[in-house]
Amino acid sequence: MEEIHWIYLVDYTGTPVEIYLKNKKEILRPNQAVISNFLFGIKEINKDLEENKVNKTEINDYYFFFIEEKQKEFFIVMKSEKSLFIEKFLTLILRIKDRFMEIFQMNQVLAQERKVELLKEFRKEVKEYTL
Amino acid sequence: MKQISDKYKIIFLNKRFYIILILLLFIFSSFLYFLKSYDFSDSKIIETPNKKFNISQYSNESITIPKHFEFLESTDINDTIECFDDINIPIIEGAWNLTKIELNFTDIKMEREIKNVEDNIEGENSDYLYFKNGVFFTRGLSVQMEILRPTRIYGIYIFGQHIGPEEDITFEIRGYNNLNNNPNITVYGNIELNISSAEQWYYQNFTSENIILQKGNYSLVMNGESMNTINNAFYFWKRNNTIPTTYNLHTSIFDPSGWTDGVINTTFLYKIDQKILNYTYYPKDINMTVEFNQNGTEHGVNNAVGTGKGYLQLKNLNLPNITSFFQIQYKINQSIKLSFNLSYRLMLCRKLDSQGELILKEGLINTWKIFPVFTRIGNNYTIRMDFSSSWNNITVFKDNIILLDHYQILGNILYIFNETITENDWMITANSLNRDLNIYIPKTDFFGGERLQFSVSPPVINGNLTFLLIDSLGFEAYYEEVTVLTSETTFIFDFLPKPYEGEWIILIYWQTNSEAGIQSYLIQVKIPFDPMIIVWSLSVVLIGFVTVTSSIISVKKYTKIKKYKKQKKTNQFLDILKLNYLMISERKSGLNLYERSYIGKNIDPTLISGYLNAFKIFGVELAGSYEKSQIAKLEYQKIKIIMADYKDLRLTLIFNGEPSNDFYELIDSLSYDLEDIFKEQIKSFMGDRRKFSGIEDIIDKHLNISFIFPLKIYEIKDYNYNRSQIEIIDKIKNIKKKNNIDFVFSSFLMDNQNFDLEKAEIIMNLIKNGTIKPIINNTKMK
Repeated sequence: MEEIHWIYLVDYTGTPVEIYLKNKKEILRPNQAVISNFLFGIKEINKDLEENKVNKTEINDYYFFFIEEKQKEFFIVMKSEKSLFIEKFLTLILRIKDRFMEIFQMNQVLAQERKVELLKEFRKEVKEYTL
Repeated sequence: MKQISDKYKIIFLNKRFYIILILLLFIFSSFLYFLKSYDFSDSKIIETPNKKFNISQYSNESITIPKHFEFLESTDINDTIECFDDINIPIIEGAWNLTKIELNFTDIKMEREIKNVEDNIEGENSDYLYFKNGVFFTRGLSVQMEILRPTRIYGIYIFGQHIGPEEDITFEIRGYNNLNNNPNITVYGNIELNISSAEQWYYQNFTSENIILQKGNYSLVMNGESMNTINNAFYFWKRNNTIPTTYNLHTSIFDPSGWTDGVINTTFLYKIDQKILNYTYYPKDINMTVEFNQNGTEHGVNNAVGTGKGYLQLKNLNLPNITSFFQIQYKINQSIKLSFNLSYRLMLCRKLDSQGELILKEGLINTWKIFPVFTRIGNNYTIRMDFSSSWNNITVFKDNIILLDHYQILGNILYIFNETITENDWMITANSLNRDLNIYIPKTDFFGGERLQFSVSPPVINGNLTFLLIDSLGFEAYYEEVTVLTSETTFIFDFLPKPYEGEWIILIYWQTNSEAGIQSYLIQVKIPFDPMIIVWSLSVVLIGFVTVTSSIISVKKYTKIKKYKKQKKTNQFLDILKLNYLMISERKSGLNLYERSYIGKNIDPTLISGYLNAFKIFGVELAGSYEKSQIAKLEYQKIKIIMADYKDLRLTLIFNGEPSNDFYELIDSLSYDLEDIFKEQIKSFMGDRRKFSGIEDIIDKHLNISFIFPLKIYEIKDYNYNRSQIEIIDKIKNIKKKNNIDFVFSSFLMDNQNFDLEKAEIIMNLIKNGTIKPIINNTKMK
């Protein structure tokens, strides 16, 4: 899906973790300090959202899809260009959240190094979803 | 630093040296001025009586001046063509005026067309074929197609997209079940669905099927009967469920219960590539009009004798700028396309520029020569030239031979006709009188440094006057050309202090596009002595050198300071965007007098205590001086914790990322301010935080924390906002409206989540003037 610019996961400490960044010159890597405030802003405007529901926000001619995992205290934000078929984005973000839970739920007690490895593999998997 | 100060010292010394040098030169030059006051020269200026000179001929040279002349060429273009769409008649190179047009239409009949049934791609509504399992699936999408006259169907455009693996999907034209408003089993056409992963229009090509449908209702069907296995394939077909282009068309889907009953006004997007058969028209019956080059004026086409025939004649037109193609766009009152034969005749004209020359020689009559390039275009091609009444002896040459016929002179107009115009060498010549210019020169002898001034009064206030001064060596010393705007034109020339001595010639000529005159005068020029030139030249060079050197140093220094200040401001904003948490506590007791989380989630103070404990275990990185303050940093994954101890206060800050070094200056100034303002309250602090009211404002003053809070907009009536401020305000309103929220974050206003200092400063200005207000207590947010 060419329209997706980036996907971030934000943990309970407020640290944004890059899950996917479109590999194209025109998609600039967002500024880390701005993105931190931005992602929490997105969370604030979707704060009453039920678990497992995706919400859509429009800023500066882009869509931002947001989903929260309340139990593990993280949320995922996905930025995309406007599209006529949004169902595909909703399906994708739900799939990413479920897959993340599946990988890291099962591997809760692993060492930090192993978690980093799993995250790397997870990023590759997400890249394949977006093709 | 020492090196830098030495460098500046040297520059300073150099500056002093230059200033002293310039002063000395100035004193020396003043002394020379007194010397100059004494007249060394034995020469005397011969005063000439103040009278008008007679015309004298000193120039034997003839002067040739390039000129441009204008012709009017006119021609007819005619042809008969077969038309299926808008008509584009090729026009020969250049811009033309259309003066007359004749159009004859024959055999006006229906043509193949694309009929838009539903093409509004706005909105987000669509339906899709999928197979989840035996219970949840959609295997068919259908929409009603209404046919009003016998019609051949070439193809159907649908708007859709395919995601996932390929399936065997077909696209069909079927019969229509009028009872349930869904497809029946009759199949008129069946092809493999043409669709791919891009969201766009896809053409379903039925050309080879040769489908001719009679009047009635039909169904267009995206058929996914073969979808029986789970493989995440989706076939989207977009629909319009808001205001339909065509009302009351039914759509239906095929789900586990079979084809659903049709519902209206949720039409799947489609367009029909079709041709209505066997139908001809009179122009008046279908209100046929034509428009030329989309100029907004429509002309009705009249009925002619016989079926499918019409005509239009327009005289005295003046349609300018007809270039490349002359477009004739027809309109009718029905959504069908026509084909017809068109015989047209366009009468065009345009201006044709030609090069030429004026030959001037003192004492002789003027000669005008024109070298036009004629290219015969179209039919009945004619050339016309309007010439001045002051011209006589008009002669036309073709290949250097005088033309005797096929041209005509009527009054002051020359016509050259179609028969003789071929691409030969053409020349037209004429003569006119060499006119007196009434020149007045007060004197004829001059010294260097003196001013030459004289006036010229040409016969009419028009054209250009040229003053040419030729020095004693025969070279051009001065040239000036002016437009004649008054009855008398004055020319001024200041001789250089040391001009070439001897006889100089003043040459004056005047010319319009039809008349001209030339005259010359002789004057005597001598040189006086002037020693000042050397001194002043030297002074100017030195002043220039000193000025340029000083400017380069100042500009470099200014640019460096500006860049440093900009970086510092940027760091301040980026640091505050990274700030997650701030805690201020009394240093000795450890009691918290202020704490705030900026990530919308309260951080447990015991967690902070845990971090602080970790300082002791993992070691601390110390910065600054123990006497003034003590700053310790700890990293935990991507989180940075900073603990800064001051005289009475301890500031603990949690960052998401590393803050810049400039940030330590900000927290230093914040702590000094707090310790100063709340001196007494801190001394007697036993846990009652109410004594520290206003602390939030002081923190904001130093750290700009309002930049990271949610922002609400309160536009001030009659406030004179500048363009940048209006852009930010509009952006906020737009985000609020689209998302139905009543606040935004400053980061929402940064394009593509990249920091922009200019935007950040505008936001802070809007916060300061009260247009944007930070929401400190976020429980009230929508």
